[in-house]
Amino acid sequence: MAASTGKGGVTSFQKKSRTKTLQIPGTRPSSQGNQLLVSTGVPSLDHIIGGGIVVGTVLLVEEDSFGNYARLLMKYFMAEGIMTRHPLLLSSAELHPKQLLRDLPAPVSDDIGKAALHQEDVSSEKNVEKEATMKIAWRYQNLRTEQPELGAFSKFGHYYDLSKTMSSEMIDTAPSRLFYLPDELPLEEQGMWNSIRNPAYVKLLQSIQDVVREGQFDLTVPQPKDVSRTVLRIGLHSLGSPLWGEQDGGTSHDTSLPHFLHALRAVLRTSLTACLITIPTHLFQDMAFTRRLEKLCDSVIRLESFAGSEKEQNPAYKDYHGLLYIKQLSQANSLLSYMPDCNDFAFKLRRKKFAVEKLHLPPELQDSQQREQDDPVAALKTPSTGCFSTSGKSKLDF
Amino acid sequence: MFTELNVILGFDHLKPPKGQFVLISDSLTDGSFLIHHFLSLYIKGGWKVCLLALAQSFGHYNAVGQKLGVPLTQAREKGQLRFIDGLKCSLQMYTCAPQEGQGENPLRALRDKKATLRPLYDLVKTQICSEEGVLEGPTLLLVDDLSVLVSLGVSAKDVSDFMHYCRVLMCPTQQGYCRVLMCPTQQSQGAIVSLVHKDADVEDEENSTLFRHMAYHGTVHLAVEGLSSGYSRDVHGQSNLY
Repeated sequence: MAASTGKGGVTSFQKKSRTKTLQIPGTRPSSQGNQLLVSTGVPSLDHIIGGGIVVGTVLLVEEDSFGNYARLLMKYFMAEGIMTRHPLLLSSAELHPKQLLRDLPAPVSDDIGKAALHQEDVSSEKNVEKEATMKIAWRYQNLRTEQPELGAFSKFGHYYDLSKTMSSEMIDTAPSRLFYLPDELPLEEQGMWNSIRNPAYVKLLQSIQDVVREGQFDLTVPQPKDVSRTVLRIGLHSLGSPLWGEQDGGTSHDTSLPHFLHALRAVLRTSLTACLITIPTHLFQDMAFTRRLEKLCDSVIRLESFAGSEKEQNPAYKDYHGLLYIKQLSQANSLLSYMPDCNDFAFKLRRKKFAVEKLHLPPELQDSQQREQDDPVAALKTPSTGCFSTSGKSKLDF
Repeated sequence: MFTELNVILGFDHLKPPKGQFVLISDSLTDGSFLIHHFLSLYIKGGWKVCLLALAQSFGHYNAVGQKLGVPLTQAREKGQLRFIDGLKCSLQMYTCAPQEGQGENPLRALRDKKATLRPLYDLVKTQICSEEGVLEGPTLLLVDDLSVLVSLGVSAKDVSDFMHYCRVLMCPTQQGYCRVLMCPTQQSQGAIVSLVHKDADVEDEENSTLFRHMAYHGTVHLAVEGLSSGYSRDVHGQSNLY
């Protein structure tokens, strides 16, 4: 066990690792095996899907009805990529990817001070000046404030402030590749939806392959030792929407999208990439089609927002904005997927933060419960029975 | 790997099953752990395996194999394991232009509606058999998994035909089927294990048709499903044997 005296770090403990895992800033090895994980940008989401997105796999987010929260998750994913200096590839059909990138959440202020090392940042200097002498923890006065070796780039999972947007200098200096469907495919070709292969998906896959090849993310091609490797983050926003050519929502058994996902898996498994795809599956009429798409992706979560549904009025859900279901977790390179404790999660969007939590039903929702018909908790348990239900009564009721 | 399962099925790594068509079906959970089980059973026993991998890459099987103590890269180099990379073939089919030679790609049926899975069967045959076209020693054909072919657009009928041909290749002395083709004294040396997804909550016609055909052809059916009482972290599911 090499005991270094600390290169300015707080701890001098170093784990002796036998296996040679790639050391890439912004990733960490998973607890389940020798796999690398990247953060989605939302630490609570990372925690419930087993630590993060496994490098080489796809996280599918089935969108909520209005697509707001899925778009937010995509922004978090891209923002995390900028903070960890991972190159980005963003594709979108309706919203121009530049617009999506312009609106990323800003990282919380103490990260900015360390992250903007190449910029002059006055605020970080001000923070240092304001540090008062410590009265209680005076032994720590002389130690430097925590400066991780590689700065904020090596940290896994950052916190973001939704009320502010990321500075445009940070966004512009990040290496990114954009795929905007109306630019890539002229309108005349977009009319060829009845061919077996949807040309939009083919173009997208070809551009993904090009980026992987050019950026040297391909693991099958040996790289010289001194080239530092990094992970490519691919974000495919709102794939499978009518703008991509999915007309009947799966009833015609059009195999373009499944074939695209299968071919994408072939590209991802042999390269250093992590992919987040959002698909508006609520538009598909055929559940079997959605299920096939899910099986072809590695991890799947579904968002259901309360906006506009009757659940919005339900006091049991008053703290939350929607529910999150984990439908599938990645099993790539391991015998088993990560098993979460429970599958009842809800998300809430505060002014500054988006967080995912376990759904807690409060023990009592109203101060006085007069009639069983009014009890919303009981109403949740038996949704199918009506107001005057006699089922669910205990033996003591008479 | 699973010794109780082996005892129940009558399999053993010293005496591999002969003439068996094992169908694994999973519903709302993942049955691919059984694929790893059969793979490690055969590799440990030193028998020949042909793995038709349509769902995962070689790295996946290798990573799991390392944890289970089964060296797949060595087996592949020695020739004991023949790996057919379905993902790579599918990617090639997807990105090549239609005029270019689709050539030798075994998954030509994914682009060409008139083609069947015959090229894939030919590839399997060349990988498994010796020059005379006969199986040498106990061999296993592992197909992971058939539902991917259906998702990619191959009809259930074509997949069923493909599996029928494979079955004739691997287990020829099934009663009543192959007297025309082979002399009945030939020992059936091979076995097939294939995986089909059959989700109970979703009505997928093609998949159900495929499952019914496979269940009819199969000798052993292992059904893997979640617990009927709901999700539990420690117990992942239950499996039934038919």
